[in-house]
Amino acid sequence: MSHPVRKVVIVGGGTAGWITAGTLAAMSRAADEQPLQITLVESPNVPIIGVGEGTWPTMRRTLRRMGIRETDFIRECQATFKQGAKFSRWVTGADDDYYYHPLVLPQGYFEQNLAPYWLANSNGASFSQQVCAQEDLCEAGLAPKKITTAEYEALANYAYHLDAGKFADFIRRHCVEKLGVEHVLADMTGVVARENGDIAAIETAQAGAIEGDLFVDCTGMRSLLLGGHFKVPFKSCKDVLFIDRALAVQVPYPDENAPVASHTISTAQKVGWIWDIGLQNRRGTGHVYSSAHSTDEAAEQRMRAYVREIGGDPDQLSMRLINIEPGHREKFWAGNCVAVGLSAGFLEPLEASAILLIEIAAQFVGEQMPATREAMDVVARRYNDTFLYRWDRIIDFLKLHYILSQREDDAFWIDNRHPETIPDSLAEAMALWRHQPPWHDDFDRAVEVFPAASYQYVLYGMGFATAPHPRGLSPDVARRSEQLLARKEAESRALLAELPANRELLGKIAQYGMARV
Amino acid sequence: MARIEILNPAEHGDLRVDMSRTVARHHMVPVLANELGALAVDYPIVLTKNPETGQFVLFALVGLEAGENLFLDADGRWGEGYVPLDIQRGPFIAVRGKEEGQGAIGLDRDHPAIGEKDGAAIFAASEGGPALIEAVRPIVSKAMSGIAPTQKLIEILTEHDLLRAGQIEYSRRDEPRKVTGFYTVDVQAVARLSDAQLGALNRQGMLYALHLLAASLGNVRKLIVRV
Repeated sequence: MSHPVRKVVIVGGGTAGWITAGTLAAMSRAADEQPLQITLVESPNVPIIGVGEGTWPTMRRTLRRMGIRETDFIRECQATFKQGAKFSRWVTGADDDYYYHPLVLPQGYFEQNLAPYWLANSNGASFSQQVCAQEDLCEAGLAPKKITTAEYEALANYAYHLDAGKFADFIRRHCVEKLGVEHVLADMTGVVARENGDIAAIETAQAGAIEGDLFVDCTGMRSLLLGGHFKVPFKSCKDVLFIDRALAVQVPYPDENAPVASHTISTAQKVGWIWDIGLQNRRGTGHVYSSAHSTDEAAEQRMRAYVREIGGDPDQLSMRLINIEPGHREKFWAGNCVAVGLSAGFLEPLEASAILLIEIAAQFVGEQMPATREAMDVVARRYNDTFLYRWDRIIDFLKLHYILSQREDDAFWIDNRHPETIPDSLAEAMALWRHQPPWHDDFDRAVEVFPAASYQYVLYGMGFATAPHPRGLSPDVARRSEQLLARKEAESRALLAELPANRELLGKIAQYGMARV
Repeated sequence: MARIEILNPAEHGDLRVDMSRTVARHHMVPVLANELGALAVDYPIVLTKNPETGQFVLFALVGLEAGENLFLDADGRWGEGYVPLDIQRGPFIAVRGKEEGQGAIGLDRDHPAIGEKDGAAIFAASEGGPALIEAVRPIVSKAMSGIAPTQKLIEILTEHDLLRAGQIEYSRRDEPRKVTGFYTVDVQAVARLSDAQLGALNRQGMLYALHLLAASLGNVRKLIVRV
């Protein structure tokens, strides 16, 4: 006899819990005659972590799939447009040292690799500035679209910055009111196991036992189901990525019309780096560092200096210290339980991978939702393969930023370049890229987290030298490359002339809203 | 920007208005919900977005490229077809009066139809007919009463997600051309509304308006043959 999957129980109600609930509910309602019954159990006593405030462009698809109006999201989550990240002082530490990792792909990305031409002809010009228009837009403080652009559509690819606390609450209301998700406020006290180790039900203090066919562990770093019940071990990657502390502080704008940056700003420090995310009403900033290389006091001094630099008064602001254990579980799906969010693992927020991982996890589970318990083990094995690959690629990509730095001002930077701290997969890729630039074939999975373009932006943004190709470039490739670079220049000029300032567009959205078409 | 003054005999008694010179050379004329029946037999009625606010505005298409009005005759007068209220009213426009809740007629001093020689005096009766102001008053009044239902119609179109981006392809002097940047009613989306929603729209008189908008798109062909 087979056991159909009809009811999903999500334990935990932060960003991970609600994105998973909304995604699974929306996908099942679109596909199934009898949609899944989805219950989210949330403790009334455990606050959400809520430091993940930067997304990827995937969030547009995630919100749209749930049937959320972009106007409502922007208005209710203090959300702003993000067009990538600006990395300051990562290479040499000098004041004018910066590069961009934009969200727009290099011009003609699917027809022609521009890196070889750029390498041969750059004369020191910035790669990201030459191959895509977005750096110009970010430097000018412009929005990625106009008030006449439809919801979720873009003139320049974009993601969001958002207030994580407001965001979880916003999606909760949508899930409960529009998508039929059952919301139970109760503290989990234990697990009722089946003979095979599966979870039959969770026990709660306020709502008794709650049964389900599939359980999603969104309990945060405590990982109560996957780590607690299934005892799946945690695999630290602190030997590769040293950062284990975050000091977060919210900084108000000097006035309500102050410009809002349309990119994340990451500024390297003596030890670690500081993130700076502009929301509508405040900047979310924070310093991540390695406790092996810096005291908490020294880190606080650096954070205070940064706050003063951007016009805030550190004496008036409270700072929150968070301990981070970088790494992930050895697998993410065990028995009838899959972990999504911090319960699966955590990495420093250098490339905003936290919310992205939640989205792609929820999408995978939704798309491959097992029909029966009997089908589940196969799906689980594929899920684990896919996500172990994805975590490894993210770890490689984050490490890439550190090994390309030339900073010598602290052992933190020097230790980060030590060969023993570099994963073999990254070392191998670097050996290849010394002779030829990254391109599509270097990444063999159908759904890569970071495309070759991202590696190009970081490698060449940080001054990495790929040797000139011994066989050179044909006149045809050179001509097409020149055409693409000229097209980028024309696109830049047109967009610079027509796009509004980021703050101006946010004001118009608050006042008039955006249309669906 | 228009320079609007509240109309009064003391200030505007000497002005003359040539109502034959009211036609601006635009390919889109703003229109109102209470003239859809007359418009729909002559012109495609579409929506565009105000570039500053992104809010939808209702327009009749009278040409296919900027500055083109295909309905003007050789003398620059509106040759045939219904003349939209926005053209009929000339330089006259409804404004809020001096006292609370009171309406008044305003005058756009920068309008090209205003002069001191040609045309009719505003307040003085002309030979064999009433003063211009008497002819203008009902037009301004009708334009005024069309504003609220037009807002309501646009609200319904956006709230029920009934608009889709439109596109016209045609050829001009054997060159293929494409007109974009406007929105039209998706009749299939109207048909997918629930019985309760359709009933409510019908009682508000809006269901008929939606069908007029959809049917008016057949007039695109009339524009193309005039190019």
